[in-house]
Amino acid sequence: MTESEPAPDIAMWGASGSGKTAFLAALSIALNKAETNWKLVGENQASGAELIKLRNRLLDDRTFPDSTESLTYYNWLLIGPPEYHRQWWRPWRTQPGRAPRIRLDFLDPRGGLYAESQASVDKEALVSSLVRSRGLIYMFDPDRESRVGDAFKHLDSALNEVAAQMLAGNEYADGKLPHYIAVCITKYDDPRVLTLADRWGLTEPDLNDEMRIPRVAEDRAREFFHRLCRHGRSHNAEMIVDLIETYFHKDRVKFFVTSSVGMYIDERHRRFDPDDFLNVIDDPHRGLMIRGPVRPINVMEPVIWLGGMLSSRSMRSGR
Amino acid sequence: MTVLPTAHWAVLGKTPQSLDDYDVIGSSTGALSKAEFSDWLKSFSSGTVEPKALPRVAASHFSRGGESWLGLSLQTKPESQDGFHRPYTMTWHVCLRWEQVSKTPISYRALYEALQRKDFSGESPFRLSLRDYDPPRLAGVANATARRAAALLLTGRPVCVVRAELPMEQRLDFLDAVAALLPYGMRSGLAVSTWTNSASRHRIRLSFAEVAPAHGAWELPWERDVPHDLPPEARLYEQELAQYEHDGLTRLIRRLAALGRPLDLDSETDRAEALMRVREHTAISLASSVKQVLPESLDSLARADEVRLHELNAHLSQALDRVTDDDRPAYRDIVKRNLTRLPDRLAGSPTTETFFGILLRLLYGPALHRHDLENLCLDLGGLREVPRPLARALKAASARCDPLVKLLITYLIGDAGMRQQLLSNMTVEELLHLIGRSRDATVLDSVLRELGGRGDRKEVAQQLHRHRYLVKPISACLGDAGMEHHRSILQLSRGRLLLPGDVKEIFEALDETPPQAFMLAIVAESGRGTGAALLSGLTAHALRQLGLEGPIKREIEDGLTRMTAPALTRALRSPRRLFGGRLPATTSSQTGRIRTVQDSLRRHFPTPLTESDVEAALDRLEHPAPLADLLAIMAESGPGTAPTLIYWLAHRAVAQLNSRLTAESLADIDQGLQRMTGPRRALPLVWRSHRGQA
Repeated sequence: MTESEPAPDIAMWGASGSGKTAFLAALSIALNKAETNWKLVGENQASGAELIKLRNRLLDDRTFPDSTESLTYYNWLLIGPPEYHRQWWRPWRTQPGRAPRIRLDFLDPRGGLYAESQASVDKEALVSSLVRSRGLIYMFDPDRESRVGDAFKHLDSALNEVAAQMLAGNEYADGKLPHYIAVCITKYDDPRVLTLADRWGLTEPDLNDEMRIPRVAEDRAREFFHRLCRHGRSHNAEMIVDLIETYFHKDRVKFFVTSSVGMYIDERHRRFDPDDFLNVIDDPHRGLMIRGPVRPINVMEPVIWLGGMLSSRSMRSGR
Repeated sequence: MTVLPTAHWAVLGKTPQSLDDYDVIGSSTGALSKAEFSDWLKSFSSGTVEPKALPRVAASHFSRGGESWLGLSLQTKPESQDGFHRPYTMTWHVCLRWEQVSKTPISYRALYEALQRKDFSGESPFRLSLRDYDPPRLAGVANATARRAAALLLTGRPVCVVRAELPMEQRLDFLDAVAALLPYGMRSGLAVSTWTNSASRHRIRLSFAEVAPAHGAWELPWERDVPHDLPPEARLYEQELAQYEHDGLTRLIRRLAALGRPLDLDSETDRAEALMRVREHTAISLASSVKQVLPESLDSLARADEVRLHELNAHLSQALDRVTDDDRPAYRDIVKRNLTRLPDRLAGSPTTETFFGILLRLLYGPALHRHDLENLCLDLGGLREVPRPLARALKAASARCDPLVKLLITYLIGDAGMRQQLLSNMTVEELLHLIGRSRDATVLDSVLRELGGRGDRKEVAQQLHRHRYLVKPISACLGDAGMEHHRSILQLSRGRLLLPGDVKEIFEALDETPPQAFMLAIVAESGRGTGAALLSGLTAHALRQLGLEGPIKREIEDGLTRMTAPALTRALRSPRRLFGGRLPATTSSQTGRIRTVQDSLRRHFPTPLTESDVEAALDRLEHPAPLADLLAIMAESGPGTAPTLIYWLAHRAVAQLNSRLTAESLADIDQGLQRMTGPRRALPLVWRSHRGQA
């Protein structure tokens, strides 16, 4: 992607409290922790300031970001390590090339906006942004789904409006929306979520991880999502997978099991303890607090996957 | 006095342990529904909160069914958690109908204080006890940042104040002050907030924030003079506001508060109206302040209080560029009534000279015009004569005047040296223009004297020819008394008695029939044998004036040829043959009259007419003689009759000018006639009897 090409817009989609802003707050921490040499910077003053504020909220204040109150835009730039090229006439020497850059224009709405049926200035702006975007991060909060059960409502309402605007014409002859969608099961660190994954036999220890934190394998994430939907409070939730795969190309949908703050690990043993992994505790005065170090799980992966998909797609087809 | 309007209210927030999103959890009933309150408050969110933003106060507006509302919200720090253990904020909102608010101005601060005292429970609207709108307080808060913020809002773009470490109340006062620097009606569409999140897309036009939003908003650092490249509308507004301090600013704010008609910041027309209103106020306040200060200045002058006069001069000079022509009559009236004398002690004072300089600009504008000088004599008539400081002020003011006014000033202040210098620096062309514009005998005399002293006669002659011998300007300012001036011009143009060719040239230069005074000037200045040229010139103009063409014109021209031929030729020709046969009459009424007179002449006289016939015919003409009748006589006249006609014409002109001619002028005319027509029998001209009496 060159700088003159239109930037991929990535919109966050999810119910209120599903962890959209926390996910964004954890993104730069995840990049730092992964030692991949990818870094996240703000493209403008406001987005840069927000990036720092969000990160400090998790790392210094050890609390979660406040609820998003209005449509918020973050214009961030994901800058990767430079690729080294060998010169054919001097193959023993390498030379640093241009660092890959992925523009991430995140749209973070207040959660309730997705489910609102009546027209409003914000709702119009949200739908218009979704229509313009080509990448979606859909946040599915199993805890909320088990207690409120409104995930289907949040997805269905806005999706209908987006589809009505985009599919009414002949531009998308196959009848599918052109977006890439990263479906993120959030709050994996919540004992209720981890327990379910464990009970359904979907977890396995990551042998590459010295802390042995149980993971849901990439190829089983869809199944976990499906089962969580069926396990939810609302029967409508069962239809979410169908809804996603009806509106989007199946090969453009990828499932991730995520946690913005990760599991608590006792630093003395540096091993996952199934009896003591709760990293989020409830402070009666300050609300939810982060107990130990922030170790995001699968936070940068959906973003890098979307960024990669969008940039290669834009290179191929000019979007 | 405390205002007690009825306010409606709503509370946006959550209930403890609730799993719901933010929404209106309580509101008054009867005016706006919960959904409408919810729509309003969510539309005007100041963006996601951050700890240092709270408590946060925001003012916004709402319309429903053609009814406009103004509201103010207070968002407080979280005190409880929702069902997801997240602390949540509460937003307390009060609102008033714009109809109420527009009648009695209300500040955001007053609304905030009233809101804090209220209990948001039940469903009834409540009455707000609002502090009075306080222009002096607002003026005290309106610093340079506030003025610039107000100016920048008039570009139609939002304004974001950054780098301001201020408590919330102070930020609220600032927002109030900015709004107070705009017409009050603009509050109907102005959303402000003590803190906004710049990553959030909000509809707040004026706010404090950590950084400015990425697009579209002005970033305004607190109390730092950042040299913005301001658009003209903002620059002009800021310049207007910059003129006000302390009481003046209070008065401006008071006036702006009275402008309650809703104005839309999105409308270019409405934004332009803001500038217009402030300028209006500036003009009014300046005009009224001059009205107050001017009598005091005149009084200081009369009391010879130079120190006070100096202070007042400074005040008056500030108003100079703002005074409009509509204000001046009132100032002139003040001066007429109050300026009586100039104490001797101030006669040489530079302060007095400065005062008169200011006075001239106040009364007549930046450049004096001719009519201003006429007015000046009336307005400053109390002084009886032009005192030295006024003369110096006039002299200084003359630098901004056109040459004619400069020249008139030299007369007014009696400065012959300045006058001479002015005239001698002007070209012949400029001098002649001066005469053309002035139509003033004094100016005419001065210029003629100057022209008489110029060495380059040829250029003077050429320019005079171009300016048609100044016949019109001289006639306009002197009328029948201008003969001597006409003669001066003719003398300047030739420097000798006129030859037939000169007379011909002069008549060709004129665009209409010359006045009698000019004709007599030509007669007086003419040399030998110029009679035919004079008669020819006069005839040509008469034909043009009556629009005669075709056969009748040829008949008259033939008559003229006969008249100017020697009298001897008369016996050698058969006169009837020349006029043989009637020519068909044209439809022109002038032609008809000529034909009628011709017929009459033929019935009474044998034609062509002899000298005595012409004389008799001319004597029978009614008074004043119609031009057509004269031309008819010419058409029927025989050889050698020209002198008779010339004498008759001169006689008639002299009779008309009569007492305006001096004895010397009459003698010169007489001699001129003799030179023109040659030695001949003296005619019994009436004017001979007046000789020496004129």
